[in-house]
Amino acid sequence: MAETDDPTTRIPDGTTAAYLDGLRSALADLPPGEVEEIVEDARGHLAELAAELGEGYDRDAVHERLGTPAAYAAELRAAAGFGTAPERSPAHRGRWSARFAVTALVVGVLIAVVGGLVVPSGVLGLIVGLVVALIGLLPVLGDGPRLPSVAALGSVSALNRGLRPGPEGAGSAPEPAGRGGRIDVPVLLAGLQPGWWVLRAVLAGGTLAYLFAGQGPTALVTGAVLGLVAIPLSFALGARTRADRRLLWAVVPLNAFAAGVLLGAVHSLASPPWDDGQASWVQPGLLRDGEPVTDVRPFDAQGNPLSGVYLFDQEGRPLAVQAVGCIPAERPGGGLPAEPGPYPRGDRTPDPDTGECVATPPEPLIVTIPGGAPAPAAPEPGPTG
Amino acid sequence: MDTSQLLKGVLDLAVLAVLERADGYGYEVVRALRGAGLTEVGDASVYGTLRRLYGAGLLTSYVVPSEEGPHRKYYAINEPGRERLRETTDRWRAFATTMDGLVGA
Repeated sequence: MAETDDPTTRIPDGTTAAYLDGLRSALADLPPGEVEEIVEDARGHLAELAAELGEGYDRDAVHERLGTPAAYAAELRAAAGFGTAPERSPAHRGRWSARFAVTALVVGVLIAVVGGLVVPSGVLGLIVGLVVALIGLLPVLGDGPRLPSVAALGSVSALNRGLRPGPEGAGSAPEPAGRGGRIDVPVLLAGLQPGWWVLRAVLAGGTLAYLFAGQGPTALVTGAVLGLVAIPLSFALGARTRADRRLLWAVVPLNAFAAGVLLGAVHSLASPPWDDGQASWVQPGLLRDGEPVTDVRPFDAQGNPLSGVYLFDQEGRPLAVQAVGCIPAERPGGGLPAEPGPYPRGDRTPDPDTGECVATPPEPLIVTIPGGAPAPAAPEPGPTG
Repeated sequence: MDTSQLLKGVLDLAVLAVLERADGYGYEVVRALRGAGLTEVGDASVYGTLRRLYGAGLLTSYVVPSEEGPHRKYYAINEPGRERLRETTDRWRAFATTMDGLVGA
């Protein structure tokens, strides 16, 4: 396409790009070479108009002068003798393959975005996502670069209408009255697109560097160099994709992967590395300095051991220690069940013969009551529970 | 019937006549037609007509690089184009005379 063989540099211009995109889709039934020639003529046409209108060159001004892309296409068809655009019914035959292609693309994107979140192992996700998407593309590959059967799907054409500035479609619907000062989201998105093309190139460079060079300063330099190399490639790919929508089946999973990498990078920057992976898991039961408490030994102020004590927190919830030793037969289900008391619990060990839990009173304990005298602790009666 | 309906039949003649005077690129032809008084001619109609006349072998085209913006595709009338222009001009004159007589101009 002409972006690559035209020596003059062009400032990316959302109005022109959006108009030409609309024109392409309205001419999608013509041979691709024909479409490209017409679009190139129209590109020159818009450039003349832009030069003539200067600052006033925008979507509304272009529509005022030339009509919507659909109207322009219809007028040009009539004058050039191409006949009118066919109704979209021929696409019906390709409906199932088109649905398959879109579904495969969506699935591939989901796999790729998850892969991007868990780099480096997620590169496998990118590969699987790409393979899934490309398998989906196979049945519609012969449809030509504009994929009319896919574009004719209700959901896809609704999406296209939503994302394209200006009303389009096979018919030459009259353009709506002025849009006033409303922010035009599609135009805004079209304006942001070059930024994304740069970002995804940087992400691709960074990911490659991370995969092959780790995280040191070498990787940083490698990533920067690869990113710079990738930027023009990313722009060329973006421009090609506009002309050949089939490339979307490779580009969108790659984009999704890049978005996943970006999200993952933002997440790991936002959360400190030491609680990475631990943050979501909270150790159950009573803890003292991070160590599990397995029993509570209550004493009164005179240093006499107490038994049969229940403890509660400030909201009246029982303080439960982790039951270690063995799991009582009446509480199957595995894990370490919490034991709310009574305290002290004593030791519980499985009986070597029967395998049942046997509770034994805790060993005597000598404690120092804060502010009192040390007192020998007598053996306590075993807990009843 | 507005002028645009009338134009459809004679746009080939108008475009050939403009290019007979001088080579021109699409927008130049649009401007020349407008300047001559055909204010209702649609831009896309002119571009489409140029494509069709070129496809029919009545025009040649060449590309001239432009300092700002894309290259300009110039169209030039060739011998078959001039031939067509003469025929169409004759037919137009006869038709216009007939119509003048009919509407009593």
